[in-house]
Amino acid sequence: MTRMTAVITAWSAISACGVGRAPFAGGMQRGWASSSVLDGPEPGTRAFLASAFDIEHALGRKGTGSMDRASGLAIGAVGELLAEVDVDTGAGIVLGTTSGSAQTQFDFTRDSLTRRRPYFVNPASMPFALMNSAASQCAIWHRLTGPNTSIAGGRMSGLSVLRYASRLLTTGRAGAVVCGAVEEYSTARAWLERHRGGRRVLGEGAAMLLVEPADAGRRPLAEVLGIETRIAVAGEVAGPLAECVRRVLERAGVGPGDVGAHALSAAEGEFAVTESAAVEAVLGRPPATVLSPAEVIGDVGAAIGPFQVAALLEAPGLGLATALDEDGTVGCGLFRVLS
Amino acid sequence: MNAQVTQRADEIKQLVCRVLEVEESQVGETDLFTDDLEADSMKLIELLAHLEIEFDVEIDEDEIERLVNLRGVYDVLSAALDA
Amino acid sequence: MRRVVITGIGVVSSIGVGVAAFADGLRAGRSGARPIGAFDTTGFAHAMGCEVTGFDPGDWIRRVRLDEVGRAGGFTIASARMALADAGLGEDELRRRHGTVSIGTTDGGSDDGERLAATAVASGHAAMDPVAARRMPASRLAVGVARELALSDVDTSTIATACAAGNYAIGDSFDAVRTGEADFALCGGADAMCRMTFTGFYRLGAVDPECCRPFDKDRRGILTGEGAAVLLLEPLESALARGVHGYAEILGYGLNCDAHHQVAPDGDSVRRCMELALDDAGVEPGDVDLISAHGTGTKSNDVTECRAIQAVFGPRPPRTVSVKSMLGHTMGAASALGTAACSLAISRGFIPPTINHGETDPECGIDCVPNEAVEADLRIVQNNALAFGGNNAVVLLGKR
Repeated sequence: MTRMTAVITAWSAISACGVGRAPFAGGMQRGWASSSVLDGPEPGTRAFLASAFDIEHALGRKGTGSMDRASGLAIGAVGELLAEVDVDTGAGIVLGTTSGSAQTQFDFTRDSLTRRRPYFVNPASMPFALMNSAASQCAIWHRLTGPNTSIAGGRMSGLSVLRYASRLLTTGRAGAVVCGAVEEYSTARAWLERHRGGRRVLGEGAAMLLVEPADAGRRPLAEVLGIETRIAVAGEVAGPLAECVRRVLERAGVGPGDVGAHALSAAEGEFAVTESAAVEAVLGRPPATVLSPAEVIGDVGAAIGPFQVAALLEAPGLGLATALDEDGTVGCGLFRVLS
Repeated sequence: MNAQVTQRADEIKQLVCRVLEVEESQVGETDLFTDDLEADSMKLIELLAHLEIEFDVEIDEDEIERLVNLRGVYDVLSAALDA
Repeated sequence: MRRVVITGIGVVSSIGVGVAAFADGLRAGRSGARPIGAFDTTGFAHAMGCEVTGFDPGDWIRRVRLDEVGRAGGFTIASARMALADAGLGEDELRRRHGTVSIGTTDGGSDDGERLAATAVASGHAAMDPVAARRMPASRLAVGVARELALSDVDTSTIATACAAGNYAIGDSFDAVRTGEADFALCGGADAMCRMTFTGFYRLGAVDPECCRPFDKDRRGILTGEGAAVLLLEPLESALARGVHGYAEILGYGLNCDAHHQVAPDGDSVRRCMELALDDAGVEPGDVDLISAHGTGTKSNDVTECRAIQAVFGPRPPRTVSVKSMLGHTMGAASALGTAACSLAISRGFIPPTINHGETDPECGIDCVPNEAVEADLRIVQNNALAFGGNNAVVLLGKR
């Protein structure tokens, strides 16, 4: 139940579509991106890798020797954003994740278990194994000293970071917040997802939104009109999600007939059906535009949220972004995209 | 100097350069890691760990104080391998 | 803006489970240190830690399936239930209000994660336990509380800002209640013992072989620990309407990032974070009666933090203690346990000691209340948290 005057003034993305805004927008328009063939010990045969992004090439050698891929992607995406807008060094960074870099955590444990001594591990990889690595690394690389927060929200991360960032703006704790989420592709993540029952083609990427107060002076791309989330305590998710949609519209004083676009968090399967059904139930019809970034860039886990918002930014008018996570959280954000 | 260290001197230098993230051409035997090559204490712990892993040898933590330059690395490693 | 009070506290710690046992442990200067039993420590020259013993999640969890809850999740749910009971609120009353659940953590389900990794190393990835894989995501900590209490209309967030995460969660919840976005908050932090965390600190030469001795000239590092603390926050007016006084009022907090180094704290930035918190709370440094320091017991943390404290408070700062001397470093739970300890110190009128103390490091230059608790009338108390990545969070509490 958050009422906000926050606006989105800039964005950036790195995904299988490429590095930067144009490749992602192009991929969404086209409706597809190239996936990569996997030949390692993976459970799947292909994944939507952000192949155009190489950590050492993008960031140099210094400080990247032990860096996890999630941190690299986040630093890269924030760099893309800051290359185009001038942001005060006191700006905050709020990033979403599922569990940080599963691969870095896995490798560390494997080394400890298989080498002659349990402490024959690379100490430099330890901070990269922590879930706050991506956000704090972004601060270090881009010299941003404001509030720096990591939220482990799974597929709800996009909505969670927007709500958290808006609160930082409302309370004056930051004048601007770089708000986004990141997920890497790795063998370790692929196996964890497989054991969780996931059968979707995985992807990786990072997307960032610059969130500022409405009066910050920069031309807004979109207004964040509201965020609603709930917990499906009874197990059934369609009802609570529809309730979120209904309430976000009601609180913003928006009629169901005014909503033109809907961005889904899931690519296919039960979740996508549920998301569409919940929105159609409230609107009384399918929205004019339905956007599904996950169909283009794969299942990017926690990172999907800001990609949904980025997709909506191409569709002027009122748009909804819905999200569902396996942990039983459901949510919806309402945006007014300015033309 | 320990025979293994003499034999693998180039490899050790490569390892040092990889950990300190500097080019091999930048590093002379007596260049100081902290003063000349911008290494911090974390880097030195990292270096000690990698030496232990690569040479499968235990090095006392206090030896970090002697890891000041490439020559120091050779000495510390020799002492550990001879122990 | 509404005033926000802490009306309930739930604690799972190595020195006691429940608010009464925890308070007694703090006052007695109890040590939670014991040989680590949570994982195999073969090959380490020493392996002391502050584990929670005798805790059965089945004593607390009623709705959620036990196999869906990891160790840290069990600590969290138990603490949330205790906080609710302590505040004298029923689940039904919570369900009628819109609330927020925010839990900080460093490792989330990494204890499950590393057991899955061990399985994969021994028997291949395909052999991993799917039940453990499903309960591993850190988001389960906050969501688990909502599920257990059947709270549908709550915002949940699991804040993963490493070793300052507890204060981050408390601060955000304070804002949610203060601005009227939420009418209650269950907030705090939780972590379970992790082999990875222990191994990492051990490799950095930052684990003390025997005990944790913050500010001591002979300190040798942290002991890793585990536990949880969950606080129930309410607007002052609704607490008063129920006739509840509360432990302490949250006056404000500060957040910033060093943006400097992954593991070495930057004293100047830590100073700024304390100033941000004091400013947010509208408190002058001279009005602070006690500081609960991050105080990990590592060489570098304690000197850097004490110097930063002196930069804010002058050469004779308020008494500065480290409850990590008793609890070890409980990672994401640490600052939540610290805030819980500060609340109890205020409401019960005592200062928890810094135990295992021989001689204070002259470079620290603070009165750490060595070894024995002292009685004190505390009006304003500050709780510091620093984390890898340069993530700082400082919370200020006031007497009710």
